[in-house]
Amino acid sequence: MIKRIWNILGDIKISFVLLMAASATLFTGSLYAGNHYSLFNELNRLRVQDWVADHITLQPEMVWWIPVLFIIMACLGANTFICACNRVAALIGPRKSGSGFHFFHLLTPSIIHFLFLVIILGHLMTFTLGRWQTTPLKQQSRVELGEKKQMLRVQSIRDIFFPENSAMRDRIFQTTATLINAEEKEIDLQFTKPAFIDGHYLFLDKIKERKKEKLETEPAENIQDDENCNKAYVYIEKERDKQEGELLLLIVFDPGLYVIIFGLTSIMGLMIWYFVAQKMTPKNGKEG
Amino acid sequence: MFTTGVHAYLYLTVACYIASFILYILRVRRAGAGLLITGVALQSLYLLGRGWLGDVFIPNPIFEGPFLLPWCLSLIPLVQAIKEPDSNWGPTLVLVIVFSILSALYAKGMIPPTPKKTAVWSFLFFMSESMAHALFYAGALYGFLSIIGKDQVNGFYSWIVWGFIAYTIAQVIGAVWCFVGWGNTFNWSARHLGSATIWTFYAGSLHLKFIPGWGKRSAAFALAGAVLVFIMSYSSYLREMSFLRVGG
Repeated sequence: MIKRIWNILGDIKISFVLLMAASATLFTGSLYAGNHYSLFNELNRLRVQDWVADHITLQPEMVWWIPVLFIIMACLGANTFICACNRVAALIGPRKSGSGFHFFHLLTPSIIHFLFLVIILGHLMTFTLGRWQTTPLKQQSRVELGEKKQMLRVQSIRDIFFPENSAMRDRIFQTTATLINAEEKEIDLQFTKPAFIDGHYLFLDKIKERKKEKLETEPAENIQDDENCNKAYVYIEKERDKQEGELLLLIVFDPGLYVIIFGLTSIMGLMIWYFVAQKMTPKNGKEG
Repeated sequence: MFTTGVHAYLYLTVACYIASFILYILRVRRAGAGLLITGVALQSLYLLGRGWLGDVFIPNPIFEGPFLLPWCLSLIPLVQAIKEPDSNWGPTLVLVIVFSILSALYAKGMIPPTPKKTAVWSFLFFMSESMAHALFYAGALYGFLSIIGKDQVNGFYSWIVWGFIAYTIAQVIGAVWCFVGWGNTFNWSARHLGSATIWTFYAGSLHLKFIPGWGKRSAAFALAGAVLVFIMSYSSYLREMSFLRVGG
């Protein structure tokens, strides 16, 4: 009986149905997120359980798909685990004589599926355990970091603009913020070049003052969302000495990061290897 | 650069592709292959010229989807035609023509990139994503041909597989870019949710091969996948047409 349930739960038809259900839910979510950018953007700075708890009773019609997505992914994870275990057992049990290369080639799809589970777990760790904190960054201001309350002082902030004689003048190309720690060591931060200190990643971010005020005075769900992913206006500063934008320090603790990157990179490498090596292995009708 | 803002190069590219296809149909394939190569060369020069739309070299417009996708698609018949000029490289050229015409109609200027979008990860991401889309469209085309009996039954499958691999590469690179730029490996935004939609759809479609009796229907899923990719990507491109642009 248990074995029967085990085999049903690991059926590849269930895999197909769950993957299509996940795709449909994600598609639905993309429509909601496209029309309510500010609301769902909050989720990038909060743990998912905290955000859903805040919004599920107030706007259930907009957030219902997120718990549904998590349930589908949990079922898919279980199905993938069972299916991959069954296949490994089928390969290892009555292993025929053959080269180790051929055996590993047959085993690769199952390893890929286990790595998929690793990636899902990594994302779950990020969504439920991650922490994101933003703090304004001004010259000579101080920032406390981590549980050890390490003190960082902002020594300087320098903007590099595109050339004056170009169509991109008055637009910021890059910003360098130099921080000094307690040991008087300099730490440079730039956009897309974070620093790693005491288990935390430090990023530069920028926001325009008027948008920040708007978000502080109105709940995100009430904001008529003309907000979108295009932030070109944030990095225009016509007056260099009186900038409109506010530089922020984003401090991130992400326990799932390395799990996700390991899983994705390994899956990518194994997939490439599998299909290239497939041309080298004899077809025996039992691959896949 | 001499092709910067000179859209005649793009229109000439489209003309070369159309002429190449006509020659292909008339079975003058070697001359058609020559025109195809010319078209790809012109398109490459036009793409490169987009890097100077802001009067300073910025790679972002080169990697903009509506312009990069037709170039990625053109590599498919190009490789086929170079390897064997008398082979059937014509069908994928239809895709190249269609998407090149769409690019000719698209807004030509550059959306001013923010510092987060000038990272090298962004260029790698858009390149791998566009190549994946190109492979998905090619897979859909061969899937359609197999449904109407003009191609071998599972001839489209390897296109979908390599498209899925390229798309997974894009997701890996995209996750790194998203993290170094925004502090998250996954962003709860329409763009990322759309990418995940496509990835899970094709992951499901690839499993059809292993379900007895469903192998033949997977060609229909290849077609459906291409429709999904088109809707997700071009709805985003259409929205971006209204963004402020410089140059072009």
